[in-house]
Amino acid sequence: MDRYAAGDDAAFEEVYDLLAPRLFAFLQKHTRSREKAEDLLQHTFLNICRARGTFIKGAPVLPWAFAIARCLMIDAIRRDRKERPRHEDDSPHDDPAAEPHSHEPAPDATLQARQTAREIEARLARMPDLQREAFELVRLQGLSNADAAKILGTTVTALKLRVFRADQALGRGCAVDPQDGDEQ
Amino acid sequence: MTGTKDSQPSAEFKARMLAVARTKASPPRRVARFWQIAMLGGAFLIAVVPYIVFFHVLPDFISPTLTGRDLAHGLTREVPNGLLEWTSGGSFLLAMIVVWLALNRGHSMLGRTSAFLLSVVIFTPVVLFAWRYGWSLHFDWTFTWAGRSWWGWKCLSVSLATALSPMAAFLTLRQGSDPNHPAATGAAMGVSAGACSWVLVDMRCPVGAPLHLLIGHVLPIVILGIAGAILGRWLLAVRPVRDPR
Repeated sequence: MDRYAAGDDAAFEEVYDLLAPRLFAFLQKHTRSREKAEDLLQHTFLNICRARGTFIKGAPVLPWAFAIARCLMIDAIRRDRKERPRHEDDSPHDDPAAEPHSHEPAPDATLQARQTAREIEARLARMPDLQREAFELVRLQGLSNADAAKILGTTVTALKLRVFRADQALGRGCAVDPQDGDEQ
Repeated sequence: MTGTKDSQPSAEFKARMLAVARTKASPPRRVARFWQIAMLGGAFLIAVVPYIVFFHVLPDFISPTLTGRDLAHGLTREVPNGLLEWTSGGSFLLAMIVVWLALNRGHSMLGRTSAFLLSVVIFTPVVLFAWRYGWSLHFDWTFTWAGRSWWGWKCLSVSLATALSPMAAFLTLRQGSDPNHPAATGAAMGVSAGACSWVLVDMRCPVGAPLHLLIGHVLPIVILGIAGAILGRWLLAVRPVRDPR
């Protein structure tokens, strides 16, 4: 991104290759629509291109890109909610990113894995927004606590507490006490 | 993270984004910096115009402009030597610190935390008032006022007028850049523009009465902070960019 900001147009492809898959997966998970995710991803990259001249040398790109994508996604979801009646909200089970139905009977292990995934999705949907976002960024996206805290505009301590509570709500055995050191 | 095709944007999307980056991207850092400096310089030059108009061209507009040795407008005694120099010199340094704290984003494109920015917003008028009132106390000048200037309407007007162009420049240069706390950033920008105008007004205003300072000097900063928060929420927030196709 430093090279792109300095004027090397070819460097943008590297920026794209590093960011696009992660951002797209994040957006698709929340929007439940490939088209909407691509639209939001496009606007995210347009904002990145527009900020080229003011990019701070050496600044981390990933938390910044995630913050832009998240901001655009929240605005888009709010607009959609205003336009649609409430009873049309998707249930956590309608996940277009899930594997397509097969006519073959699924093995028990696969069926159980799908049920577990749906249960986790349901618990995540019931969680307060702050905890869910923290959990998704740290546990699902693999971001560091510091990066996730920057994206959410909070402190690292507050973020760790949210992740800890989210872990507890999901009944994970490996929940880490926020008083302990970082866990990425 | 799964690597299936469904979890990746399409190849056509990538090609479109690369084309946009080549043809529609903003200027690179070197060019952008030149225009940023030009815009800020122009904004501060424009800011001086109301100052000259209100204090020199139309010195009696709203209320009389007080001078260091002028006893004709109701001053009970001469303004002490060094009062204006000390107060405006110190407020200049404080204003530069405030501008740096409010506008500098550190090493992150996401900038400072909202708690940090709100601290700047709250403490700036307090510190500037304390500096000005403290030095007025030192010169035994806090209870001397001059008729129509007592309420501070002229200082209020000049402060707001001189702060408009710097604030507009700050907001324009960072338009669409804050995904997390655009209102807090806007408020900090408003307050830093107010701190700059405080310096200009301080060079001409010798009145040290607390009520005059609160109305004529502190109130404009509060107004600018609120205006900055409202404008920042609108202008600084990240929004979808119009499709360049």
